[in-house]
Amino acid sequence: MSIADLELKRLRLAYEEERTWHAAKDRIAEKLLEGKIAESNLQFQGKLIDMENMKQAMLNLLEDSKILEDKLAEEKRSVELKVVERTQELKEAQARLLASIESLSFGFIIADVNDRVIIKNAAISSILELTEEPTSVQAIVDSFKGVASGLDVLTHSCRECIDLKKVVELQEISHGKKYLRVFCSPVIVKNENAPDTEEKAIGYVVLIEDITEARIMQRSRDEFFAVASHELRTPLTAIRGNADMMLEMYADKIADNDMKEMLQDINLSSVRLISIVNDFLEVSRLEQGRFEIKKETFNVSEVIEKVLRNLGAMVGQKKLSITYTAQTFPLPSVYADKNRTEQILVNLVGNAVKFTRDGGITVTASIMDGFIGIRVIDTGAGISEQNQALLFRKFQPAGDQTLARDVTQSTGLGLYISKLIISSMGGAIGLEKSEPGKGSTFFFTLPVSSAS
Amino acid sequence: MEMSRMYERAFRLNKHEVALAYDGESAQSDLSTMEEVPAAILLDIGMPRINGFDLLLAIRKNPRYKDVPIVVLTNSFYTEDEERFLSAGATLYLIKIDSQPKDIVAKVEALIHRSADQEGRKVVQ
Repeated sequence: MSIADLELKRLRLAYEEERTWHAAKDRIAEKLLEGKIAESNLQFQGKLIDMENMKQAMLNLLEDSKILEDKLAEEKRSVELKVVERTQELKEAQARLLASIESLSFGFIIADVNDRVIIKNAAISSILELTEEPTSVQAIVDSFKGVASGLDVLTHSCRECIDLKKVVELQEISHGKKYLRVFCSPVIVKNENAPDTEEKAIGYVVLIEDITEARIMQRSRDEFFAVASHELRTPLTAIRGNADMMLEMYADKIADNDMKEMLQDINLSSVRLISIVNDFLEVSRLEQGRFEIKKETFNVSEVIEKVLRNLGAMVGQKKLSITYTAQTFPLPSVYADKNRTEQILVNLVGNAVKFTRDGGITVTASIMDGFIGIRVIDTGAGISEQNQALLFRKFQPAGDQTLARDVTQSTGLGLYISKLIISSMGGAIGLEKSEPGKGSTFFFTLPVSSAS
Repeated sequence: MEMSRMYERAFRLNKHEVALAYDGESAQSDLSTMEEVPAAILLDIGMPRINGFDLLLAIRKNPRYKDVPIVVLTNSFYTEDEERFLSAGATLYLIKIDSQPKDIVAKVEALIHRSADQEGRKVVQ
């Protein structure tokens, strides 16, 4: 036998002895717990076993396992409690969701991929005047067979929204005497366990809005607008035109001073009424967003100079200095609507002339970070602080009311119109500063043309 | 009516000869039987029977009238109309309420001078 073999044998024996020792210890511990071994000390293969010690160790172990069991039970209870809580929460969330869906003025349907209606609200039945509970979108469409309804495209649109996984909108569908707007939107679910796989459409939502009322409103607004522009402006044109012609062409025949004055008053009143009607129409068109902005690249200096040149009639008897200075020559071109820019300038400079008795009006143009800023500075009446906040509102004259009444006749729409126009051109307008008795500075900005 | 009368008067007082038609249909038949080609045509947008736009297209189609200045008069507030009429062959597009009769006469006279046709006849309406 080699030394290595001897060593191996010794190791094997030691291992066997160790195993037997442990097995014996376990057996003795069992017996001890069963009360079958009373002795406190035992001899085993020459080793002294401290039974008390062992018993304590076993009891500790049992104690530990009992604690573990309790812990487990407690854990289980808390999980059960949480499940109950979550179920309640889910129920509440569902109730909230269903209540929201039910309260929608839109008709609402959720259908699965097989077109079966899963959730729907009452509005769908009232909007479409359904007599039966809808079971599928196809059934709804079928129930209108033979009725003049554009809803027959609905099935196709729902299919399209599921297949392409995108919202399909049907702007204006006629349905009997009604007009409807319809949205089909897919219900998409992403697989959490396989984030790389494609999203799946598990159904779709159909929203149906009754836009009949809105359409009637829009049409009556349009009709009002057309009627107002033609029927209101046409007689005014005749009044003004004829009064103007009488004063122009029959001046020699109107010898009577009173008669001449009466004619002049008719003329002036018609001019004033025309400007009111025009302002109202302008506001109505701007507010509805139904107007065209024709943007072009142009030199704003030319427009300013033109407006100031044509100002003579407005200045009248007043001795006012009117100047224009530009920061640099030439100024970069702006990109805006030229006629609209002129309109805003006429408004601002016109106000300045109205409210200024002595001194003058200065217009300046300067470059400010992608914009041209135009200031209209006057040495006029100024505006009190409380009225400053009200400027640019509808029916708010540019100056103080008390002054406005005797100095000007205004609809109070000029600044409001200017604001609506300037915001649609991408600029800003405002009052920079004003001091009663010293004057006001108004400004507006226009975007610099990228071509310059 | 009072509108047409006003413009008729304005032109007459400025020594022009005027032929009036009160709707698109009679304007069209008047034009087809007219011996002389008018120096200018004034056209209202909102006419009964044939509207101003269709009449404009019809007039421009006729080779006899293809070079006659046509002035469109309207009180429409829709700025889109201007482009529509100008591209359909109108020479000038005027908003009635913004133009005094004497200004309209002056503008039409300028157009007549430009087209070097001095016949001094107009069709109003």
